[in-house]
Amino acid sequence: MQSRAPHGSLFGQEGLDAILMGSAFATCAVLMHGDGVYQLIRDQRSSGTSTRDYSVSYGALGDYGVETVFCVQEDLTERRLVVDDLVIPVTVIDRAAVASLLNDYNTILDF
Amino acid sequence: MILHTVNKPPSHAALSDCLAVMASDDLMLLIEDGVYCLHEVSGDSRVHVLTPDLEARGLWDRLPAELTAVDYAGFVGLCTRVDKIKTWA
Amino acid sequence: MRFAITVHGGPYTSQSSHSALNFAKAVLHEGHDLYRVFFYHDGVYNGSEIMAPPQDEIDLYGEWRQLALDHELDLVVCIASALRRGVINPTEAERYEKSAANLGKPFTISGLGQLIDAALSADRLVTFRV
Repeated sequence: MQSRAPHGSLFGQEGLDAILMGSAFATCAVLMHGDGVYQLIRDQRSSGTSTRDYSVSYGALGDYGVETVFCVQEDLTERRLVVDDLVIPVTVIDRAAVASLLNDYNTILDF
Repeated sequence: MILHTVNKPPSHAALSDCLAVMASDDLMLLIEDGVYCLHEVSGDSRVHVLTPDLEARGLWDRLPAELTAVDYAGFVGLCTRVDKIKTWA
Repeated sequence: MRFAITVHGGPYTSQSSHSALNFAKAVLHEGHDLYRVFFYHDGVYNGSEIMAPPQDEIDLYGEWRQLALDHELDLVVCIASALRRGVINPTEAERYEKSAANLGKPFTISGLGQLIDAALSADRLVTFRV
């Protein structure tokens, strides 16, 4: 579960590394929660910040066997984002559905 | 059944994010700066508060009656009562 | 019950390391098994043996070290997080041609697979975030 915006900290970038590793060993899904959805905004240009633009790496998740990337509709709306703003296709769920999503998996890795 | 830990004060989104997805039989534990949320969740019997963090912040006598104080052993005990732990920060 | 712990916070920057240490002690005191403590993000600094805090403050490296020696704990710092932050053991110092190493024993340096293994092998994974 990714909950931090990119560039301001390395939590998202290092979290994605863990997700990619986890997908090699177990069935994984990713929930971009809250400010985590900012990681998926397309056309990030980080040459001026010296931070790494790892958003394109989300495109590799499918190759790693990560079945679904979830976003919460309310998180998108509150941040004035729509799915077309995002770098990969996502499955949009209502906030009310997050509880059952968390219950569907044995372990939650938080970043 | 999930134990949700919250380690940020109420001005942060952690508490509201947690409450938005918490099931009725889930548990919450306020730790670190999360103990400042104690008034926001007063009356919610699902909520536990880590005593050492409460005491360190001078709030030991302000615990609402409906909340349960636990020490670190109690924190471990809460983990054994649930299936997994979700961390809100 | 078998526990695993992940530590995200750097020592003396957030309370994350202190909380994780206290929780680890309680897990062991309550008679549970602690499968691994995995240090990620700034948490890798917990393994720096050259930290020298004031004498009236807790020595986090020393506390982790003693707890691990007393209970044969597996303390692992993430290699990717550690290398980019300058926490390295003698082997990595040689590989990257650095003049010094600072990761103290019994901390070991290993890959993210150890985090995933801990998550899959332990009954409960508890993360201490910033």
